[in-house]
Amino acid sequence: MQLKNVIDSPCGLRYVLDQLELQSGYARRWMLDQHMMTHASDIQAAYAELKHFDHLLDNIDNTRLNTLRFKLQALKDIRTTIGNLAHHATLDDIELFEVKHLAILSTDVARLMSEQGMAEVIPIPDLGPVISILDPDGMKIATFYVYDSYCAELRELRAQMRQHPNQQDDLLLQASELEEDVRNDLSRRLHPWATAIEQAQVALARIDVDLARAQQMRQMGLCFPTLSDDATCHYHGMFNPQVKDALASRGRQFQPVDIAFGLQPTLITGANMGGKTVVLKTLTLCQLLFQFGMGIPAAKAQMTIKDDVYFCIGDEQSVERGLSSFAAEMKSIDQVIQASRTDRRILALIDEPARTTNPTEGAALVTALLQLMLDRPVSLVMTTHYDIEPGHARCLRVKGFEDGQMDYSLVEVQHGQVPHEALNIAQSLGIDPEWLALARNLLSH
Amino acid sequence: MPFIDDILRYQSLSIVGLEKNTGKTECLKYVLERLPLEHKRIAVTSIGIDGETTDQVTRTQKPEITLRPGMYFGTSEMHYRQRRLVSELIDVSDISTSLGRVVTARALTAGKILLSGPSSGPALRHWMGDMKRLGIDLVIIDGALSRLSSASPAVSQSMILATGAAYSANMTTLINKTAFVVELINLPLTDEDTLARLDPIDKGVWTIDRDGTLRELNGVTALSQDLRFEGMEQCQTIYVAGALVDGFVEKLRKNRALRQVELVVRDFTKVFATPQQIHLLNKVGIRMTVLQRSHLIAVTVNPTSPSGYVLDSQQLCSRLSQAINLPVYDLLAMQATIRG
Repeated sequence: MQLKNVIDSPCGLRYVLDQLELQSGYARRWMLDQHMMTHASDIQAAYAELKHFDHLLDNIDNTRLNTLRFKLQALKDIRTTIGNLAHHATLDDIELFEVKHLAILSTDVARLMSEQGMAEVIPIPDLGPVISILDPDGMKIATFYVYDSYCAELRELRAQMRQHPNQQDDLLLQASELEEDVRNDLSRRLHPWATAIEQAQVALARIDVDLARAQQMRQMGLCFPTLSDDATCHYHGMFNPQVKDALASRGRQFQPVDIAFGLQPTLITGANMGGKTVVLKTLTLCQLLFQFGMGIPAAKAQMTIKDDVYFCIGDEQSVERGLSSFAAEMKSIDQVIQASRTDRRILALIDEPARTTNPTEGAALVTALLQLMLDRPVSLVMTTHYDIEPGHARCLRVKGFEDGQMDYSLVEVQHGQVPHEALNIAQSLGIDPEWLALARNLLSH
Repeated sequence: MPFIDDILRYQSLSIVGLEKNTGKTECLKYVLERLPLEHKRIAVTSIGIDGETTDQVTRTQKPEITLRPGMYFGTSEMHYRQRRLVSELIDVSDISTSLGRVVTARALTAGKILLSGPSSGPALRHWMGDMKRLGIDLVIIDGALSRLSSASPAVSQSMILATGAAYSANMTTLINKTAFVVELINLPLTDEDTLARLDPIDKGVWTIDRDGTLRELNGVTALSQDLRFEGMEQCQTIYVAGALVDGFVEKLRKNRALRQVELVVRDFTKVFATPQQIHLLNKVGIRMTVLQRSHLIAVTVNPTSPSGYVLDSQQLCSRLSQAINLPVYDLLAMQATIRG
């Protein structure tokens, strides 16, 4: 699964990715093409690399950092050109220019990185020989044409051209044949370097991405996660960057949440507007950020690796496709169940399953789902408003309204009994009192 | 040499023609042949015609431009490959056109090139930003035909306008129509305080009252049919951020409360109202001003229409010059005189 496949997950991944200060469009494309990591060694290597960039930000002075960024801005996507080179095509002037430009750029960036002691972190192939081929006069500037010094005959023709502008068309024709020979020869000499050129391009994109990620960790207050020793995930001070920023813009603060869960199904209950859905969103977001090697929005995070992450939320897109909300929901939960029959490691985050049907059947469906998942390799975190018997599931409850204020923290409770705060909350929203009074009346009978 | 020195005072120049065959290309050639290259880095490009009806067929009809060694130019990848001169590639931009990306190069020998640069205003501004970074002193833009927007002050600081018998074969009509365009180009700038307040606004119709209150006329664009001016007794300035059209101008003129106001538009390219309506505005005491103005360096004429009808060049030049209070040149006649 590539990052571009999940960027629009309703968990808000796009928000975090859009705030990365990437310098080049190619780096962004490269990042979106990356696959989700599922091996501990890959993830550890990615974070080790990111830590180097974190240290880099500690040590580098502003001038050098700006120079590095400025250089990375010039990174272009020349995969087509590299492909042509690899396939023995003769490159034209524009393509040769692109190769030379990248070669000089990567040499500059390599020098900046090695001055910071980072040469080993992301090795950049030495493209000095490529520059030599395309810079016969040793000018060290990133411009290109078929230089006179490639061919004495060409030099002679061009001199004539300058002297006899009226014969230019004839001379140009002769020159263009010689130029094509030179381009042929250059492409042949560059061919063995195709792989190294491609590696250099990727290395520069990686530097751009790592630098932006390290920077973002500081700006958003993200943490480096650790890999859990067992199957349990622990978040301390977890927050949702998007909700946090939205609240901050209204002068309010996000209340971070602590949560832990393992393979035992976890049920979250609590009042409406208690932030249950935000918890599931953020857990999804964190898991994806973790397996794509990014900073985690928490003070501390101890995490486990999953093969699949399912986030089942009332999916408006399916409804738009003509499925009823119930059908859409059942189908997405069904996917989780099918996957749970394999040995894949699964994280499933399900928001109020069966909420749109009658409470009797709804509660039965939820209870049955908890039972079904009990012995499967699934970390299931589920929210509900139904009063159900949790069996062996763990129950967490949002603390809820206290002294007229919402406390979003989660507390472990013995039974999944749901709080009856809907009417109070509706009242605090200023909903029609006649309606609410009637409802209260009905409840008391 | 007429107007070459004037051009050098600015960092950008657009050359636009009011109609095909009004001598825009002749004018560009004239300028490119004469600009001194010793102390200035000069780049030339052309604004492609974005979208709409014009396609590659029309574009390839664009004449080849002859460049001198040392000149920089921006053109599409396709036309770069077809160049007939030796040149050094300086930059390959991210700006794409239907003929590939826009590349920038420096001519090493004299020779011919088809110019097909950025095809939209924003892309052109982006390219001009690149030119600045490359240390270019002056950018010359071969504007789109009968598209004055390519000479918008948002793009270039100065402009040359080409007109001629192709625009109208009746000399009086030609002079009147050209004079109206020149009048719009030369609309005075508003004062700095108003500029500072209105410049950030890019849509809607706004008013400034005598006490300085800035208000938006809610839910109204200058194109709205149901536009009403009410409670405007205190209004001193009206700003139309978008297009200024006849209907709006007429309603404005007929409102007696608004007789002494200043009507501000962003720049002359936003005025789509007819000469009659604009002139009536002046009559009732409404002053028009702009937020941005490009400097009109010269007007050139081509007295020959494509159908072969030829106006009297000298008479045309002197009458137009009198009407617009600016020098007017028939470049072909001038060069014939010099050579003759």
